[in-house]
Amino acid sequence: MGDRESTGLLQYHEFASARAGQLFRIAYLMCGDWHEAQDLVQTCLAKLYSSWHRIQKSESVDAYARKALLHTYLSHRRLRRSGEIPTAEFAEGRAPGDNPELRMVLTEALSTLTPRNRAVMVLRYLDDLSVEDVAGLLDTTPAAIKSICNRSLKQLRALLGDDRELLFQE
Amino acid sequence: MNAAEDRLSELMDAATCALDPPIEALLAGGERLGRARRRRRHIAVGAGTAAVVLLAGVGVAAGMRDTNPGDSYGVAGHQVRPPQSLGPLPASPVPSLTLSSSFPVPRGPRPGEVPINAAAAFNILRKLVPASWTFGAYLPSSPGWLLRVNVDDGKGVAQISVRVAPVVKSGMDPVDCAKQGYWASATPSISPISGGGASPSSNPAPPGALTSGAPVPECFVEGIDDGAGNAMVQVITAPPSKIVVDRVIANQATGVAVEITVQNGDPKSGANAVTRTLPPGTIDKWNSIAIDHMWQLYVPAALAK
Repeated sequence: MGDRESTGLLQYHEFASARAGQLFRIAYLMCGDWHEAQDLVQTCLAKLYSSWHRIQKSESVDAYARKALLHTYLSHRRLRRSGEIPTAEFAEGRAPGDNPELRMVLTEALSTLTPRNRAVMVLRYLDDLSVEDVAGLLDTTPAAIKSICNRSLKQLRALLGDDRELLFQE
Repeated sequence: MNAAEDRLSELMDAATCALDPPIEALLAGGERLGRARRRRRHIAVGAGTAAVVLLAGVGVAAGMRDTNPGDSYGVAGHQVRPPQSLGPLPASPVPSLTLSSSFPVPRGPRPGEVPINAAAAFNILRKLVPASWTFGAYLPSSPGWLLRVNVDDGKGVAQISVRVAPVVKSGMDPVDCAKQGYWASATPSISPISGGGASPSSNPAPPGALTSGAPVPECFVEGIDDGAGNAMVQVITAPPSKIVVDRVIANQATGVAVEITVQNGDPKSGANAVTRTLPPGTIDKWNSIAIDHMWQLYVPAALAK
């Protein structure tokens, strides 16, 4: 293996190690399933790995990683075309401070959104991307993203109405 | 962000911060799959030349078939004009949102396949909408449309229209809210706006519209099929009438263009032109339906009966 290739591999490992956890959190809230989230992240990392030299030269690696994750998620959703069932908690790894009940309530509410809208909400509110950045990832306009956020937020508020005081304090 | 948005961010963070995925296994799996992708790519480059020659031959044959008026999908394939019930395009220039791509000629028929017809479109549509919806008798064909059918989701009758055509012959490439969008004026009949009308790229919601449930006119264009295709998504309103139309034009990466419009009533029923507040489903759901790859120019013969 040449010097350039070994340097590239090292840089890939550094990036992947640093980002895998956050990518998993995003994937998990998008799909609501532990195992599917793992598949999504692995596929995303695979795309990064296979195109690493080109990505490094041409654009933000972070943006590419998110785009790869997003497109993989949306492609998986179209292929599956089936309803989601929240997975059993025992399959997930937990750390101290975990709140599985909150996670279940949130993933169930998010599952009522279309895959695209769900992705928008997760990228916007978990990953803290700007409206412009989310629009860029989805090849659409900031106005469209704002509209999706407004509609989806309204829908989530209606669904979580019983827990309104706890979940949506104003 | 407002307070509700901030709170949602907090909740998402709290729900996921303690997740402990197997990072090392993810990294190892990603690298393994990545190496496999590289190997496949190197093999595919060698086969690419032969594939290009083959596709060119298929494209010529499909073009000739399109001109045969006897083909059942040729009705849809030749229709490039918008449906008459929705009115012409705006006369004044509006901001343009354009995504353009080069699309392939769609694949030809496989053994056992026939050109898509109204029956096939109806059967595909039924597979993609909730099973509880009840359909009326569909029209075998109507000017500009492959399928036109009334449906009731339990909240009132609505009309769905479907058109399927090769992208290269649909007149819908590139999709552009200014060119293919429909914009209503303040007059009772839907007609072009004259200056100062809603922007296709940023239709602001009227005050209180989002909380009141009133439909918000909008139009946007987005990439589909991992960016190899594009779709225009539009919600059309025509105040002071209560007509609302959800409309999607999807130019799939397969080279197939699908247009679906859904109106909150039957436009030909006079007094029942508006039977409900909104069309059934959501614009995002119709977007998902239009980009589904079940829509092809050639379908299994059993589907077309």
